[in-house]
Amino acid sequence: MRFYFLFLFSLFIHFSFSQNYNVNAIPKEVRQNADAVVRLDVMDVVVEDQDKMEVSSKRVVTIFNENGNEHVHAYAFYEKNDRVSELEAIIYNAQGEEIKKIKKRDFLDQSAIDGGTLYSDSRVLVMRYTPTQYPYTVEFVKEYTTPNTAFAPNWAFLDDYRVGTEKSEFSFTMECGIPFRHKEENFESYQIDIKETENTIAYKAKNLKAIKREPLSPSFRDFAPQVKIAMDEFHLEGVDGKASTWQELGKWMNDELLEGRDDLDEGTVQYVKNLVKGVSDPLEKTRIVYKYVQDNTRYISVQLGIGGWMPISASDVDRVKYGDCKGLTNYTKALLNAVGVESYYTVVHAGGQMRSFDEDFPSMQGNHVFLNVPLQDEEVWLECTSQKTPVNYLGTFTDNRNVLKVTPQGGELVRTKAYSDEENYQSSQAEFHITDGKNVKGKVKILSKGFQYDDKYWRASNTKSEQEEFYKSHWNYVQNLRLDEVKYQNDVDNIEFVEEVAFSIENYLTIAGDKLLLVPNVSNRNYGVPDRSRNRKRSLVIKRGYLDEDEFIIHLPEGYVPETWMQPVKEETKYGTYAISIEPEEPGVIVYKRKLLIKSGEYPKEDYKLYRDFRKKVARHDNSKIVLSKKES
Amino acid sequence: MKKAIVLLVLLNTALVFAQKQEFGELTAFESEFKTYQKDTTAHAVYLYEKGENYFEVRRNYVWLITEYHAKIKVLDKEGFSEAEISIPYYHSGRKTEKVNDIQAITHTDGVRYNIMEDNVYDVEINERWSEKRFTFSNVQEGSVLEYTYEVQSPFFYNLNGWEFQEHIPKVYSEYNAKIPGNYKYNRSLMGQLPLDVNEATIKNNCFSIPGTSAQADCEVLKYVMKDVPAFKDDEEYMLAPSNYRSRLEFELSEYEGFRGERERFTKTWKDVDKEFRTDGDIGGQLRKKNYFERNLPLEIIRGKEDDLTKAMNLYNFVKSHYSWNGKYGIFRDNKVKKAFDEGVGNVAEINITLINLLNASGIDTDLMLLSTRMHGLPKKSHPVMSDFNYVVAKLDIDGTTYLLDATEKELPFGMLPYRCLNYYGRVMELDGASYWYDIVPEKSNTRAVRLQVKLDLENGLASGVCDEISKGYDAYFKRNRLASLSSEEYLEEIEKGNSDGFFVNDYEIVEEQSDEKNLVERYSFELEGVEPSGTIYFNPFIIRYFKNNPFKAETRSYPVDFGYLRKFNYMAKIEVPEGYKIKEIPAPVNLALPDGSGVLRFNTTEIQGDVMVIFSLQLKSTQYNNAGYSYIKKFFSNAVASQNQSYVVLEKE
Repeated sequence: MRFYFLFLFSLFIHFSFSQNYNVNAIPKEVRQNADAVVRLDVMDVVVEDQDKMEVSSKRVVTIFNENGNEHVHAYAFYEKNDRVSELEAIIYNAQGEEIKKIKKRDFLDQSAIDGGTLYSDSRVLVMRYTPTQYPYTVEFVKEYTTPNTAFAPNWAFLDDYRVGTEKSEFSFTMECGIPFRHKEENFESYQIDIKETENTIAYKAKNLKAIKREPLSPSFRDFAPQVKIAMDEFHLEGVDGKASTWQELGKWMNDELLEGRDDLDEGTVQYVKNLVKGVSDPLEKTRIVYKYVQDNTRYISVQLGIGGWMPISASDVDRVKYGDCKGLTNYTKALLNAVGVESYYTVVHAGGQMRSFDEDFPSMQGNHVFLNVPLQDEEVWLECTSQKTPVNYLGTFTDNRNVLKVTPQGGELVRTKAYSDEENYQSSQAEFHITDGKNVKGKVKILSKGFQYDDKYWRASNTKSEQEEFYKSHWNYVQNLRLDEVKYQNDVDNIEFVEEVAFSIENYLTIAGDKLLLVPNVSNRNYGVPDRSRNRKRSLVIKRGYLDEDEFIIHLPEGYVPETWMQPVKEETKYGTYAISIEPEEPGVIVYKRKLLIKSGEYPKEDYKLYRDFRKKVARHDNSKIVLSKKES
Repeated sequence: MKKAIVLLVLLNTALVFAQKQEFGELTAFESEFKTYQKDTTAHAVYLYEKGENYFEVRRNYVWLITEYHAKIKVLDKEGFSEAEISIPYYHSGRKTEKVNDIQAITHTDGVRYNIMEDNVYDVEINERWSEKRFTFSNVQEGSVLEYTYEVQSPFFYNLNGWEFQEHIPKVYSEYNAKIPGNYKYNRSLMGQLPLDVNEATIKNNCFSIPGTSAQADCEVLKYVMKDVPAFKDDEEYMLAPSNYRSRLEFELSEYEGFRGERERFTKTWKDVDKEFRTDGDIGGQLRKKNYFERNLPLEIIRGKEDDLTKAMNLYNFVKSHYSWNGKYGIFRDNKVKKAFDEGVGNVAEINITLINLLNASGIDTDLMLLSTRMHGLPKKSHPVMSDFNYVVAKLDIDGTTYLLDATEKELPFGMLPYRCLNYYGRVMELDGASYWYDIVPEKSNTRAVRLQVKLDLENGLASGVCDEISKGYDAYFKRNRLASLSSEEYLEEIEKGNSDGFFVNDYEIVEEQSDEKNLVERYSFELEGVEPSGTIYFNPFIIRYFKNNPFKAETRSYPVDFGYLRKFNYMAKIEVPEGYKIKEIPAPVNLALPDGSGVLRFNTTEIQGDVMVIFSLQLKSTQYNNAGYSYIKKFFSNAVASQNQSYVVLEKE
């Protein structure tokens, strides 16, 4: 899926203003907390025709340290039909004196294949330069022409965390009369000039402070100022398009990218029809077809020209039994169609960030596609690139966000399912025996659902040594762990994963004189405390909550009793609840119960410290010990 | 050092047994193969693999041909990644290797699926390497992936040998070569596995060049290994996996033309030494003394100081003058003058500059070739130049030998970066014979902490002052962190490295006790979570060196290598709070590794009402062989237990 080549189009013209690249000329407030400062970032986009866009840019960045190097952005990605006409970089020292000039021919021209892609025809020109001193400044000029106007450049006034901006200017000019839309986001707390004429829109911003990274905060794009542009008529790798609504954009995708690509040969059609013979329930049919796809195909990414956006045909996938997300989704859709189940190709921003398609701003977006099967009482989702994901399991990859469903009638924005805190559930039930007064031997049964299922189900086929490796790092707070029998049960219909893990731990108890110290929480300690965040600026965001419930029955060593009974702990906060207790079950046996609920939500920044305190308490209590002493006889 | 190198004795046997397999056909064994009993954790296994090298005249040129044929059984879905194939090929200047006749078939349930030629992609990796890439179609659990190709190469030095052992096991792996007598290759068998077949025969008149009457005899070689286990190499503390992986290594040593002309590539060290002096990339670059004399402030070179001070000054000058571009680049593209002008260079350029400068200032300095830890140990049996990938300076001052590398800004004079701690190198004298020289890492490497701890029961805190004393490599690594992080980040790193609720205040570097090889840091700290009660259980390890045992695997098939000697000390004095008395202290621990190659001591005593804790762990060897793995694992397990599970018990009076 090449939708993700929405890399910051940092692209560009020639300007002749007097320049002072001396580092001391940077205003103090812009430099504060910055690894790099963008001194000047200018981009002018001129659309000459539906399939001709000229982009000229000049970007000057001062880099203060090694961490800043990634913000130079002296590269040019290009596709086969793009033409990079101008490319040059000049390096300046701290005083603003030129120390090196890098011409276009000195840029490294290489294939832009990322890991996980077998082949792509995208390429990139990269500047080669090893900094010899900090700070230094790079002036980078780029000009290119592309026929692909479907991705009109977006503009970000701030690059990233820890990067300040001195001057940022962006203009978009329409010379061929195509209507275009623009949307300004997060301009509220910034002074940004906007100048709009009939066919041009231009923005200017000055002295934007660098922003510090804060743990558990909103996504950068949710508060950084930026501009989106989209044209109502556009072009993409040889294909023209026209759309100003999601409905129209979806219609175009359907007609130009999908239509006619779902033919299957008669043999295959018969084959799947046979698979579902005697089945009338569409959900059951879906399960059968999806299982067939999972058992027979695998994910391989090949991106060529329009193939970055258009799926390879269903019959091709049928022949080779592999494809990328587009190909496999389209193939599954074709198979479902053959058995009379309607389904829709759906474009999404996949990933843990829950990024939504913008309802108010229809444009080419997303980085992934999957399949929507609208059944009578629910929308069912299929992740066709995975051989393991169950029917209708979104996980953190595609949950809770707006996605674009492509139907023959046009596009439709729909929201995927959000898992509630309680649905992200894990229960552990265990029985442990203490042997030789210091070792633990026992078995825990862990049931996982919701996003907690996400962490587990792909391990179903792990070998013994991979299990060993996993549990040793998962329970890294216990030493000398030895696994006995491990059983997994993956219930794909109910989307539940059960692990039954038998293990022993040598020297688990600590001997202190004639006492024994025992941490009753053997197998579900949560030491996750978020980092300190001094002078917190932004709100606390817990994207996904969860609930853990644990019950451990512990057989104490012969002749020992708890010296004192631990007082039950119960912490109730607005971010969640934590409760533990220990009670005698019968002589020599205790029961440890634990419950941890973390509630998703957005909380004011002042709450961050309180949340952190809460998590510290959890971590501390999960590690607390009880003292066992010899029974008086 | 255990030598993993065995030189092959070439036997002249007349028996050549053939196991030629037709492409596209599975044997009964292969089509019935279901599980691999010898390794049930494998996701895929090579059922059959065969390669062959020979020379052939095509269109009036002699080419080196490599034929390859493999059949891989996919055992489960995790094994699907084996279906993505990359065939690398080399190009240099206008010459390029060609990959011909790629054929690939997926055998699934008795049906064959061919891979179409237009599904083979050509991908450039860098200036010298490209790849043909393809993937198999219709791959299922149980499929057999079969493919074959030929590489036609104009580079005779690319006859490199054969990898018997890889990340998945192999049932059968065979390598053949037919080498005309006029090409000579050195060969070595690396790793610990034996060959099941090792045959060499002579075939008469097997090779000729059109237009000449001369005929060459060929040596016909056949090597086979059966049931080769997978090689797992993601363990901590190890030298290069290539030292231990079973493979056959060839290196072109000599070529004799049909008209009697000879060209020798690698040969004896004597030849190498001679060639070295005139070589443009290294030897030639060492004779730029005059250039530096012209372009450097004279007082740096012609200073009046003693040699050691002068050498140190020059070393610091080169370190600060250059930024290292991260490359080693020892055999090509070295341009010392240009690098010097720009202030950017690779390892060779930077260290050759240093050698030139030292020689210009009258301190005799030689170049030493070495191989980084990840590159493998150089063979000592005969010169293999590609075994080396790094150069440093070697000099003697007043009877002490120093090895210098000027690429790392924080590196003290006389120490080499960790990557270079690979046991030995070859010193190339410009005027004399070269010789092996052992790399002896800095011996005194210590992390030590000294703490004074008070229990502040009112606030639930342990607080006090901590001195962290780091020496040798430990000091160097800390200085690297200090240089690359802001002070705030550095303190956060210390805090995070300890238990939660550990806070650092008033941090300072005690300059008067610190120098290049010593770093003394002092700070006050607070540790939350001390709960006042009738009986207090207090872990006296406020700072822990080992949270987990780094040795997790149950067994290990290659040595543990620490690179340098290590020592960890911990000393804490804990004041017993008013109204409490000591009830219990942890039992002492005294452990030694076999032959005294490591010592662990932990002792707690009561001194004038305070608790004194002394812990020390010392490794007296840099390498422990695989037979000793269980000891070292146990040793660390004890160290971890001592630090994590020791309690001082205090009781209310």
